[in-house]
Amino acid sequence: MRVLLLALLRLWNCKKTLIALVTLLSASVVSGQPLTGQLRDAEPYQEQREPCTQQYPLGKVLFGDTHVHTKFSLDASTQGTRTSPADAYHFARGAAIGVQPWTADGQPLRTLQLDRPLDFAVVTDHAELFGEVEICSDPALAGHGSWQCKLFRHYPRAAFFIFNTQASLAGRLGFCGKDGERCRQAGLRPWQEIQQAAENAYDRSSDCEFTSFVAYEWTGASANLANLHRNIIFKNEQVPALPLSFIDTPSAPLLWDGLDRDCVNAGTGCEVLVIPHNSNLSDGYMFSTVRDDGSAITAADAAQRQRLERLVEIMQHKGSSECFYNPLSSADELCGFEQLPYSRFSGKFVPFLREEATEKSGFVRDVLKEGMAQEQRLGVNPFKLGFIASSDTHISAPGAVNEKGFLGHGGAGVPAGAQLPEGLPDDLEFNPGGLAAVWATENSRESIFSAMQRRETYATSGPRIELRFFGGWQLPADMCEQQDYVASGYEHGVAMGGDLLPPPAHSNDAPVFSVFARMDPGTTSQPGMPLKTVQIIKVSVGPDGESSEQVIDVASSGAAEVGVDLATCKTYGKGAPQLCAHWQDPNFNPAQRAYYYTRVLENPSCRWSQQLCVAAAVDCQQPETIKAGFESCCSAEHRPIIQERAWSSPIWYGPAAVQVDSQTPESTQQ
Amino acid sequence: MTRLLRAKLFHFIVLGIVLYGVDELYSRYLQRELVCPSKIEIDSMAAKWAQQNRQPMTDKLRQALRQSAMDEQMFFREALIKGLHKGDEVIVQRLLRDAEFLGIDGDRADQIETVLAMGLLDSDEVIRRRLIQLLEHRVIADTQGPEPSEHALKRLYDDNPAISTKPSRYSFQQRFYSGDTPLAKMRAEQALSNLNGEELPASADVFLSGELFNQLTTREINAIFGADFWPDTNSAMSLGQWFGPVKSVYGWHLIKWQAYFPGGAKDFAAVRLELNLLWQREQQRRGWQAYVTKLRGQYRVLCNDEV
Repeated sequence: MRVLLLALLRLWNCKKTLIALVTLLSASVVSGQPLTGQLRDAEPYQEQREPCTQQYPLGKVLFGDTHVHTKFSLDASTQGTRTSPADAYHFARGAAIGVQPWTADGQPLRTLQLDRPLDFAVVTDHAELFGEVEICSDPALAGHGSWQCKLFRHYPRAAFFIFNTQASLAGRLGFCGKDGERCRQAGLRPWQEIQQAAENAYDRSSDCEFTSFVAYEWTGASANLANLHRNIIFKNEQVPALPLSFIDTPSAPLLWDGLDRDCVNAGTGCEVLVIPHNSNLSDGYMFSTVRDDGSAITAADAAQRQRLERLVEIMQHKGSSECFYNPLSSADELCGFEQLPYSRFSGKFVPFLREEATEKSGFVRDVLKEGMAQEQRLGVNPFKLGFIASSDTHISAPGAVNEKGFLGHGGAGVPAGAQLPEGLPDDLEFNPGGLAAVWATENSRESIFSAMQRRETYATSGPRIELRFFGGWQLPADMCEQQDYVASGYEHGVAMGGDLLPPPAHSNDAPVFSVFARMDPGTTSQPGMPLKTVQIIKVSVGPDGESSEQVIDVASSGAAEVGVDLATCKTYGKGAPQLCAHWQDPNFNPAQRAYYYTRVLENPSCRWSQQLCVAAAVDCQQPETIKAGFESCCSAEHRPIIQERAWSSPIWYGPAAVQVDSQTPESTQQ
Repeated sequence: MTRLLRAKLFHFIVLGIVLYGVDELYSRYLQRELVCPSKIEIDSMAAKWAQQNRQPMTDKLRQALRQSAMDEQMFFREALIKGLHKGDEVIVQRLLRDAEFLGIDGDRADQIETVLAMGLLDSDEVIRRRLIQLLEHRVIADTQGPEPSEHALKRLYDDNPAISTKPSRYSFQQRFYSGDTPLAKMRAEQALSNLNGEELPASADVFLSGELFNQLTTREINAIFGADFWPDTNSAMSLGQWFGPVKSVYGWHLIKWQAYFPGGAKDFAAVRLELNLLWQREQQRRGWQAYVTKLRGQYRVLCNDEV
């Protein structure tokens, strides 16, 4: 039966090109207009699946969450998360999920459900402690009775610190046996369950409703315990037998070498993407320009890094990593968005280790600038990163990123129940996280992975804003008025994530950029917020190493009075349903390297914490209204307002021959 | 044959078998006895639960805790009665380790026998949990009978529309009049009234998602235009004709509904594997539940005080 099914699927694959053409032809016939843009025939699938009925030659935005933890992650299980990778995928597709605490007979006291399902999701449990958690949870396994496991079961918060600290030092716990083999073997079962859950959730039918990927998180740390975490996402079911954890590969270069050995060069068809996250907690170590032996990275190192690390998670529940913000000196006030009050996670728990972030903490805007400086030295940019955001949920709830009804994602080692007394359900500095947006030609693994590889992605802090960003030398001045805006963008320029093509010969013109954003339509229970402003951020580096940074408002709703009433959380003022802008760089210097990205801002609204403070009728002027658990509503650190946003992946310019790897979505689809 | 039946040796053997059987039954009868957790124990469990979950304890929850404790006791005893501890290497290794720790000499069988006689099984949490797990695995494995019948799968197919049906799809073209421009609705109305057989209404604004939408479900349409956009629109439209203006969160739209692809049942064969898995899971759940219910009926419960 299985053989017959595979044979049928192969036949379907041969038909894919034909179906795509018929789909496009029918769309053209239906409209009475020829379709514009650089249409290309779809390539046959490399995987076994039915061709998608829905093809989007000019791309369709798919929203997903690429950072999800379930019960297999220690910091999730020690706070009472019992739900599995399969549960997480069900949730992403629209099913309700149980959330801790649980009754004695195993029933959850809280449930959660998305009002809009996701298009794709990726479960990324911490690989370091797969085996340890498995042993401590399964009485059948040797080591279950160890004192560490007893601690795990009876004092989860203490276990969280001990286990994580040991993993951060790339060490195994004693009960793992000689060379950690016992834990490595015990980790097989969770890894196989993760793979099976991803397989079961992936829609291989022609409906193409949902995509999942096999993945995990490499939970690395520097010598001072700063964050080096990276999510490892595989393109298909061809994955290494066991995930390479920080214990196996205790540095980022060792991880990349290991992935090249066990995946890219293994000859199995394995392909992989590495997505760093939380550089805001990396104390500058995440994007290091030195090798493990202290010498400067080489061109080969930079090329390997650029090949594997195509994206960065710019925002998630532990804050935004876009840009450093100092209220006294930062020119870009909008960098003051979901900032954490410490530069390393250890600073959260150990007050004397707490240090605030600095310019050198590793915020993405600075990292990309350093990448261009390295490119001048090496000829290769090691930090050529597109943007996505995700949730980093620790309750198996991908895409639960609404400010309204936030249950708290945890992940900070807070045990189950401690969040549930009346009051705010999460620490004040955390937030619901964001979403990854991908411009794909269909909802399949190959199409989404290809879009991620060519960086045609963007990040949002939660809302499903639709965003296009093109750059070129001859983008039409009236592009925003053209009904075939998107086709025109691909025809005359490159999309987000790409490199500007070389300028036309003998041209002294500056590059032109076009950005078009559409507000999130929202849902019946939570209408979308209109747009306020669209900005282009330009960062350049000259041959002498001198750099500059500009933030330009290129489109605005024009509404003078917009805001939110903090007593009721009702918003006021008008905004724009769509904003489009055409902008030519007036300060363009062809000798300087530069990158450009766009930031789209909604009208302000109440942050999750303020919504709960209002619901609890807290009035900071009247102390008797401040109930237990709501004290932080009135603290100096409380940020009651949020201005939700989207960030496009950048478009790069280099004076030398540039590396072109982005055109239409089809051009690089494998 | 008659001589055999009258032989004293035969009588002796039969009597022995009967006595052995009665002893076994009596022994199992004695083993199948549960002791209710005391009020103090329940109070302790309740306090621990409330501390962990920060939820008030109710009578219903206390009953659930009590039943849970008794079930655990029952599963453990039943696993021992079935001798599951004898064939499991994890438990055997555990017992041998206990024997070495206690300095018990002898070969492997002697060591295990001695440790069992000392009643260490009862106090070893790892072995208790392992035995319960083994029992559950065995019951679930026994539940996996033959493949589901066509009738059973068809019933699941009928009872699970989320698996068995596919949604209707629509193709349409739209012209957009942005809500933040003056007189957007009037512009849309004028464009519609001035069509005069033209293919496209004039003077439309640009909509980022484009003008053509091919084979979208209602959910996909509403994800682009906002909640409830399509049902209202769909009910009043005719195929091939421009209709509107229709309001969305972005402004006003003229719509030309171009094709309808009715939804309906998915091919039974296409979802057979999914239905099979669903059936298996349901059988396992029912099998375990039925087993637990039956087992509870076989155990005597001794309670000394009220919960």
